[in-house]
Amino acid sequence: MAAEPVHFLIPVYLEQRDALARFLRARLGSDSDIEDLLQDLYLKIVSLDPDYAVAEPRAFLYRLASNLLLDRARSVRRSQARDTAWRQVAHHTDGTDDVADSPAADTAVMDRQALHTLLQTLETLPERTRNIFRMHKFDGLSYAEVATTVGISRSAVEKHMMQALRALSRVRGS
Amino acid sequence: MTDASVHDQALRWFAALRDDGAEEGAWLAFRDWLEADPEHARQYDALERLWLDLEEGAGAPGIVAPGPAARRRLPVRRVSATRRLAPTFAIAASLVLAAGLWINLSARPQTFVTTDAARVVVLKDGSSVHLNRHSRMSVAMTAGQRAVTLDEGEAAFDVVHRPDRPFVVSSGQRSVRVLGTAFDVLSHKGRYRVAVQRGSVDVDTGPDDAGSRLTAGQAIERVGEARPVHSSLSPDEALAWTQGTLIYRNASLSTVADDLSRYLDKPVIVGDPAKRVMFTGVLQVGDEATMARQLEDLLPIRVSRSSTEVRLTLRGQD
Repeated sequence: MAAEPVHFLIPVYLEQRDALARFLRARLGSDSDIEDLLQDLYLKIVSLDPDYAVAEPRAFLYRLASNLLLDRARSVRRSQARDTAWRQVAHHTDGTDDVADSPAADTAVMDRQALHTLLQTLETLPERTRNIFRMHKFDGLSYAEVATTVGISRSAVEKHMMQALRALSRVRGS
Repeated sequence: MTDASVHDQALRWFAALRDDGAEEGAWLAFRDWLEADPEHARQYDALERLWLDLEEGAGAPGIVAPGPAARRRLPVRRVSATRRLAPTFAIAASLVLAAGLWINLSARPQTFVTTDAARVVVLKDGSSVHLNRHSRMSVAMTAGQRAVTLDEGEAAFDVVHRPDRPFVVSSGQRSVRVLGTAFDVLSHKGRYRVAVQRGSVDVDTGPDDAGSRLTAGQAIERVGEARPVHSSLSPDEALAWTQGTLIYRNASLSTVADDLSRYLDKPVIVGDPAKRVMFTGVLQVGDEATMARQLEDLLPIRVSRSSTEVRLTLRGQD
C-alpha cells in the first residue's frame, strides 16, 4: 500500500462546518453549545468505520447532526427521569433545595397515563399506517426498507408517517 | 395548537427528514424554514418531544444513528483507490528512476478519484494530500522519488521534507518539484495554477517555460499556452477551499465560473457582457443551489441552471 486514506467524511465536514453550524443554530435558536455539538459530530465521524460508504456525504452530515440533537434530548430526559426517581425514593422533599433545580423534570418525563393514551392512539390508526409507523419507529427500518417490505413508494411511506404523527400530536394537544 | 399551518409544515418536515434518502437540498430548505420564524423551531421541537415520548417505558429501541452498526444498505458509491493501472504506467514510473538500482516492484501507482466530496490521503512518507471534488490523482512512491500525477482537478499538498527523495507533482507537461513544503496545485481544462503556502517549490508550467522558483505567498497561473502570470496571495488564500470557502480578489467572472464548473462538474458558461464583471469576495462551498444563490446575492448577475449546464448572464440582459 502506497497510501492510506483518512476517513473521507473529514474533509467534507471541514468544508461544511460553517453550514452545519448555521443548521444547528437554526435548530437550537441560539449560539450556545454549537461548538460542543460540532466537536461531537467530528468525534462521531472519526469513530465511523472507514469502509462505511455514504452516497450523499453532505446530506449524511446533516442527518448525523440531527441525530446528535435527538440523542442529546434523549439523554437529558434520562437524567431527569433518574433525578425524579431518586427524589421519590429518597423522600427528599423536606429541604427547599430540591425545588426547581430542574424545573422541567416533571413535564419532561411522561407520566404513565399520557404514554398509555399515546399508545392507544396508535391502535386507532388505519392498520397500514400503524404498521408502517411501527416498522420505522420501533423496528428501526429505514423508509426505503419499509417501502420495499410493504410494496409502496418512499413518498407514500412519508405520507403514512405524517398521518400517524398528526394523530399522535392531536391527542397530545401539542 | 397555535397556528395549524405551521404545525402542518412542521409535521411535513419531520416526516420528510426521517428518510435516510433526504437530500442536502431538503436539509437546506428546512434550515431556511427554521430561520424564517422562531415559532417554526418550537413546533418542530414539540414533534421531536413526541417522538421521544414514544420511547418511554415501552423499551422501544432508540433510533439508530447511522453508523457501521446500522442495518442499512445505502447505495454504495465508494471513492475508490483500487484502480489497478495498466503496466505501461509502471514502466513510465520506473523511467524516472534513471539512477535507481533498486526498482521497488511494490510501488504500483495507486489512483484516487473523487466525485462530489473532497478527500484526504496520507502517503506512506507521512505527506498528506487534500484532494478537492471531481479530481483525479495517482501516486507512485519509489526509493528515489515520490511521484504524484494530478490528472484533473485540485489538490493541496503538505509534503514531509526528504532531501534524498524529491516530491514531484506532474499534470501533463507541467510539473512542480519540491523537497518539503505546503502548496496547492490546480489543473483544469487547460488552466494550471500553483500556489505556495510554506517553503519553496520549482515550477515548470510546460512548453516555453524555463521554470521558476516560488516561495511562500507566491502563485503562478497559466491558461493554455499563454504566458504564465505570477501573483502574490496570502498564504492561506489558495488553501481556503480545504475549509469550505473560495476567496477571490478582483477575479474575473470567468475565473469564478471555472472554479464553479469544477465544483459542480458541469460546464458554467459566462455570457459576453457578464465577462466584464470582476469579483472580490468569499463564496461558501455547497451544493449547486447554495452557490448559485450566493452569486446572485453578491453580483449583478443571473444564474440559470439546467441539468447539463449553468449559465451566468448580466442581470437585465437575458
